[in-house]
Amino acid sequence: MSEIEKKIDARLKKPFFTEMLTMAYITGANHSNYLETVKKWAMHFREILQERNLIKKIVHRPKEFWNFKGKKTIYNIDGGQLSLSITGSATMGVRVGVYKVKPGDYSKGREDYDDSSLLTSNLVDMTGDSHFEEDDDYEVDFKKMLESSRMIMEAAEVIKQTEAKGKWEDKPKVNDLIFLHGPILFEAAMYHLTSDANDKFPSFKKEFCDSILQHAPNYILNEFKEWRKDDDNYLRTFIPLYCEIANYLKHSKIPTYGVVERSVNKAPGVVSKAMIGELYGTRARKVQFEKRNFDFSWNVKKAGHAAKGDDIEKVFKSYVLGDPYLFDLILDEGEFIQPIQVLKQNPFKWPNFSSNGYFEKFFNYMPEPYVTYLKTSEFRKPIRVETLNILETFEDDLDFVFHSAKMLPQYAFPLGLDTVDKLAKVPNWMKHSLKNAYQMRMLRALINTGNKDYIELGLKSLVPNRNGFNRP
Amino acid sequence: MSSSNWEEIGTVIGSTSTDSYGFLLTSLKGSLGDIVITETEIPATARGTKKVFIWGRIVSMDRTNPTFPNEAAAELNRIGAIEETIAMVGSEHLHAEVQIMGCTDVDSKAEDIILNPLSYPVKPTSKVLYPDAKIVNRLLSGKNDDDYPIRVGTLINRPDIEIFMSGEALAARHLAILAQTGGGKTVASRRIISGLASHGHPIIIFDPHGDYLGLSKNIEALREIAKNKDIQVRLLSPKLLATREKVPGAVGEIVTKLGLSMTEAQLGVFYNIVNDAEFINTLSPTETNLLKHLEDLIEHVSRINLEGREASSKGPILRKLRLIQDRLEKMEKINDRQRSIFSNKGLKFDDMPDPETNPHMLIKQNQITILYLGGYERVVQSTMVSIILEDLFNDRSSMKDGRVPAFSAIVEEAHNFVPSKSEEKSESPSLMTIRRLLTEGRKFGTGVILISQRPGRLDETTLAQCNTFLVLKLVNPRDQNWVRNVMEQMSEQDAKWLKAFGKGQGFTSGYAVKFPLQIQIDFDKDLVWDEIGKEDFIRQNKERWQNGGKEEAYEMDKNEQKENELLKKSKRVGLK
Ligand SMILES: Nc1ncnc2c1ncn2[C@@H]1O[C@H](COP(=O)(O)OP(=O)(O)OP(=O)(O)O)[C@@H](O)[C@H]1O
Ligand SMILES: [Mg+2]
Repeated sequence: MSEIEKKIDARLKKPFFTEMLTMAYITGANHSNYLETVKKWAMHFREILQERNLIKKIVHRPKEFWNFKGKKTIYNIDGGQLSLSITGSATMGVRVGVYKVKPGDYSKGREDYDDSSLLTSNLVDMTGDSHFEEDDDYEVDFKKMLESSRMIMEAAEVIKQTEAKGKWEDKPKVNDLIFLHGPILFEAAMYHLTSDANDKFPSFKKEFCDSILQHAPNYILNEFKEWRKDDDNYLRTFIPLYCEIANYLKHSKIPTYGVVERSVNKAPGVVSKAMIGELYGTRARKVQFEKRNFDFSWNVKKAGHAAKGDDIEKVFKSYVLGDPYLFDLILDEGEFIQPIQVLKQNPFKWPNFSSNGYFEKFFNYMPEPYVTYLKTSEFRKPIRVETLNILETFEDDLDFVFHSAKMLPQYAFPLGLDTVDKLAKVPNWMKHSLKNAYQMRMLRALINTGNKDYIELGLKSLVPNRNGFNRP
Repeated sequence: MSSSNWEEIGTVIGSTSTDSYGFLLTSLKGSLGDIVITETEIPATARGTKKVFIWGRIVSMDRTNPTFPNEAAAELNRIGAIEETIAMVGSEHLHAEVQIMGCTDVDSKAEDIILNPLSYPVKPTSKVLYPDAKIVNRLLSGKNDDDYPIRVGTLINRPDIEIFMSGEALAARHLAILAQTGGGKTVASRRIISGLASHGHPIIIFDPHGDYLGLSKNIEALREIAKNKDIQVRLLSPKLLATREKVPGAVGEIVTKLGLSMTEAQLGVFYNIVNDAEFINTLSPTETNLLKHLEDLIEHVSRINLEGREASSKGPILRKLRLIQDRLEKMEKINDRQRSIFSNKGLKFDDMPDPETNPHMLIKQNQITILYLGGYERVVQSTMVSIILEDLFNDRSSMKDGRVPAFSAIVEEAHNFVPSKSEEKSESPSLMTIRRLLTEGRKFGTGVILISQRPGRLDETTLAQCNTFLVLKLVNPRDQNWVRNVMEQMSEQDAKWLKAFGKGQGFTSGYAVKFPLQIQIDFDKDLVWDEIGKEDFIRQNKERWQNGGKEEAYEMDKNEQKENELLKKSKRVGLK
């Protein structure tokens, strides 16, 4: 038995595979030799990928690696959200934190934290006729609104930092790194409010839009502004804003990645599908390249016919074998697959096209991300790394992700993102326990700003009585 | 009183109560035991609100770096410095727990501030201030000139804040000094002794190890420290005393307490003999030395004619009395020998006067009397202490004209004199006496200071009568728990610190101090007499070896060989 086969055997004994096995049974597939078959598929694909040099290997060398002498700045971004009141006004809190650090810098300036992106108010413009009514859908919409605000603020934080419009004056340089906790891009349709069938989308307040779009020139919006001069309400909805941000990220020269610790086990997974598409030339893949303007192909020799690819997809589906499981088996510690462009925006879910093809146009402008799986620990499922722009530094950057994750041998997730996650978690503001570390961190940061308003705001949030919290 | 020049050191966070609050430190000021102030608005008795300063002391602190998980330590070892990595270094923070002492009105004058109980919780988000020494001293020091204050030390970590104990409170009430060995009990007690002596208060010390004898040698330093030129230190060699009327009781006590068990029958015969008035009359009316009386008793028993079944008890009784005599003589000899070591170093011991007839020789204004108990077995020590304290107390409580002045008694190794029930098979003779002193001392001015390194072995009822405590370092968990049970004012956090205290650091609370506080006891180095206390046996051996010991040993070896040979020869000759 080969070394990797032994490892795969061991991995198949891990609890999450047992779970998956159960799932496979529940879904009705009668796979008498489930684990053995899964193993064979994994080994098969490992072989195919290796033959085509599509699996890259990083060597763990901590002492040698952590030698930056303060010359590389890492920005770690994460957001937290909190809804405060469901009835009455749509009051919510979103905070995005940025942990900036220069490894190897021993001065006081080696690290800092910026949590100036704070939103605690009613986001919805109540003055126009396109605001929420309190009806049955209200609560669902409210949650979506909150989530969408967070998505957009997290992504917009990249712009803010890249343009040095946050706490710090220096702009990130091309050898710096920006990490986002979570996907680089979400499926936009999920957060575009569509509960109102009458094509009336609630729009964000103008100040909010201004605050998140800190760059010039505008990639998309300018063009649309001319087009719908009479009504800029549409431009202040989720999709146009998100689309603008996505395009900024796509054109940014600063390496920017979203790192996802747990991927959903959709079978077949988007990366698996893309991989099969590339290796077998499936029709679906062809359509993606045409309709979604894909611009990045593996360009490798085919592994089989398109029909075979379709069959394999079906097998993965019936085996409930999604991306995180498949790549957990395929990859060895320190390995990642050649990034692959995947389909995130689903045309069938895109908001209806009735307003004169308005949103359809944005659909065409929405970039699709490049994704890889990186196995950071033998004992953990691989993490997903996404970007909208593959730069020359890509492999070095993954090396950085790997070594940052190695700092946490059990959690196996980059320490920088783990740090900002702890610092930015908003729900913890409200914990009564005074030992709460996050409260203290936040309060300290606020006190350090010396800004009376911030301090007041932060202090308010610590008061056990939540009623006083940041009412707009 | 104005807070304007008090430094801001943190902000109150989390939920608060009228007893405690927590705050986040933003400056490096403030450490364990420190006094801090917060300003809060509370409801006033009249309608409306008023501003108060809330005083508290820091009882615990913790420091965390929440962004640095433990699991990162392994990788960090391989890398070296944390700064090389992506980890956050500066996210550490300090959180402090404050126990509230009370509040003062914001606009009350500094001269007459008093602490009132707090009736309304501290406002989260309040600023925490670091008050200046002057105001803290005024409030906390407990210095009241009418009460004959004794400076015992400073607030822990704040050498600028003095802590006093009330001399009057110590004279009328009772203090327990508890700490593991080496914790600084004797240093603390010497400090209090010099404090009491500075006011001329008479003191009697029961000293099993000779820890206090040096006071007589350092008398000049003591007078200097106490600022009292009239202080005298008197060292006494102990003696078991009994006037002839007390002989039956004293001998009976010693027979039973020394553990020389007699059968019921023997005991009966024995008591008949010692209680026989005819026998007692044969004893000298002027003799007070119990050993002398014992001699007479033995003489008497050996001469006595017992009849019938009692006759068989005579032998055993006699044997046991001789055993006791033997043991008492041996103890006396050891004490003699040890005293002679001290005498060689220039200490002068007086014979112990009879406390019943001569209490004034023991208790006198400006006099510190030290009874050196070394060499005697516990029971005998306890008997001696019991006899003396009983006589002194009786004299004092007689209320007659010319009784002895009020005094303080210091009992070292108190667990031997007031042991808990579980420690002793039979009660220590001194237990009841000391208990009585503690319960009634307040009326007659017989203050007691109990000192012990094993608080858990002290009699709880007696200790409960102590209303001031000074607890220094204690590591033994049983002792810690025990102390917490007895001291109401000790919080959980305070108890946690007991094991961490350094030398001379401790917690004090009770009647003689104004507030429960963590304290650093003053160390009067000049009162240390290290000619005895020093544990330098290796040096002593070396010195002896050099000053003739070497030659002596060499000669002894040589002689031994020679003598062995001679002995062999002698045997041969002798056998013939
Ligand atoms: N307040 C103090 N400041 C500085 N050092 C002190 C203080 N108290 C005690 N020490 C140091 O600790 C030593 C032991 O102190 P001390 O003899 O008072 O301990 P103890 O508790 O009486 O011990 P034991 O149980 O052995 O009698 C002292 O000689 C001194 O060096
Ligand atoms: Mg001592």
